[in-house]
Amino acid sequence: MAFRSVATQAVTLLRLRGVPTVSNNSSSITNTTTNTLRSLAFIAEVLDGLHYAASHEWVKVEGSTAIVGISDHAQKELGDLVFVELPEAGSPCKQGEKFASVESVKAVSDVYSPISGTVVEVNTSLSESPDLINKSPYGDGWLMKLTVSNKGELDGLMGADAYKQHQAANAH
Amino acid sequence: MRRAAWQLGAALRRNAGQQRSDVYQKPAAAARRPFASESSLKKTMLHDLHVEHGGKMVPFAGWSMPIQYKDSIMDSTTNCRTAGSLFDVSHMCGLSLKGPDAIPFLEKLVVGDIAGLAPGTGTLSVFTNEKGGVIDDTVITKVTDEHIYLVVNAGCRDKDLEHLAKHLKPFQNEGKTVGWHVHDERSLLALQGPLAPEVLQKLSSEDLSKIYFGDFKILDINGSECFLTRTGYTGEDGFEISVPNEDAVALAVAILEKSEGKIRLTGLGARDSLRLEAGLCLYGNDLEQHITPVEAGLAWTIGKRRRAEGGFLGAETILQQLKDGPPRRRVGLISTGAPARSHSEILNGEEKNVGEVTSGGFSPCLKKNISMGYVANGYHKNGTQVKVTVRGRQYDAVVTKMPFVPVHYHKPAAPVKA
Repeated sequence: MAFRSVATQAVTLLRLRGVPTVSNNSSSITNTTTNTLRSLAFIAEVLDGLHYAASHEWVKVEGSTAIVGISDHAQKELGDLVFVELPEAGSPCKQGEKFASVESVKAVSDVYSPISGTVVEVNTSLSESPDLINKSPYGDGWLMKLTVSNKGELDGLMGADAYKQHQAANAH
Repeated sequence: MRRAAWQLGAALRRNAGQQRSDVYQKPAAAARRPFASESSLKKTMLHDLHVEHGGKMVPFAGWSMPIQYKDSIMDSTTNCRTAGSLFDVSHMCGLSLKGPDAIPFLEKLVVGDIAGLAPGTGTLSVFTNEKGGVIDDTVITKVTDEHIYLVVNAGCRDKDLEHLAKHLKPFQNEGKTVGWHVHDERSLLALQGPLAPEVLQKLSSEDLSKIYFGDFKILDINGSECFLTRTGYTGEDGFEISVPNEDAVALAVAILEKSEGKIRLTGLGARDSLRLEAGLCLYGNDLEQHITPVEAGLAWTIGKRRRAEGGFLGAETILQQLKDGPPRRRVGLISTGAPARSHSEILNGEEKNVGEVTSGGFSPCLKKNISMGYVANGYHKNGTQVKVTVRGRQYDAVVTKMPFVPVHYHKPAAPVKA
């Protein structure tokens, strides 16, 4: 089971607690507002039109090329990223196998390719600015582009709605 | 995505006295394991307060402790240095040794000159074993000539108490008088950072500016009798406050309120970054049973009289190392590329292994990879170029003086030699 980490469980608790717990406190309106906003910060964005792996990577396919990154949920779980290790262009990637590592202040995480293919380009901006993943997980924080070898593999991935449910199910 | 290793958690499991079994090889299993026993974890008095503040609770040395709150470890760490942090460190074990022979007894087990401390002052020290290795590090305070207060690591509690008991019996059999008490009736809060003194001053009528780094005082804070030590584990000015359990939550809330939100509850994740930036050792990582205080760069804790007289466990080895120099030394490193974490190999220019990183990560304040580790004697000088290996790749590193960040301890105007 991917991504079952200490932090995941803890964030789950946060989400489950939500606003009602906050309003039970005798905190001022200001405090309640702050806490509500903070709670909202843990609601992850899921984009339509992407395919998602259970291990929280996304892939967007355009023709025979695919762009791969990690989901908003994943970047929120990881926190501020400080280092990204990417494959070299030309190297092969297999669905479900590790192709990159991302590091936060306290943890190293493996990233698995949601689809098989050959790497054509990696996001070199990430070596200077790994926090692009935190700022824009579906945009400037992409990890790699590859030539897809078997489009049929997409059938094994989730659409946006299924991934939202997967996140929710994961939260229990 | 899978989290390969929760580095701090791994350190903790070792701190908790468990074998270094498969934690490193099978991280997924390691991450699951704590939850099986979550219900058996001990909770501090502040547990509910942590959860209310969004604390992510994790198992730590048998306790359920907050690793972080809603803000990131990065923000939390920098906030400590610019404003302040409040840590719940109630899992740590405070104990008192009392009696006319308390000091001679303790001096058999630690390297510090406890007899030479002025009443109401304290020092960092280490418990050693027969081979001169470090059993635990501890802050020891001489309250009076017949009362010693010390705080030991949560993960070493059982081991330390057993060690004390084992040596106490023969000592008592000689007709010596020493008693001890573990302060389980008290909680421990660490208030750290530049705002710590002014905020705590609002809760006490004592003039805190007269209490300097390392000083200890029993005084009234927020209406309860507290043991106050001006010390910490961040490199910042601050206090550790031992407060009766029933008053712990009220004190924590009062501190947070008096700071008007500037001092934040801070978790173990940021605490680890802060102590690393300050060059302070984490027992279980940077200090172990096979490492001597001389190798660890803690020779300064060995009092002058103790060097002359010996009389502590492992004195032979330790005094010999003081004379000849140790075979390896703890150093700081700043490296490029992927952060070097514990167990990263340290290589010299010829790619020969010359040591190992014992803890490391990305410094939130310096925005650089910092680490500490042990290198063979000769590679320890500041500026020495080495390499660190991270997941099979080599990155440049340079031996760097610690602390990595400037420390801000409250000392009397006239410089005092540590």
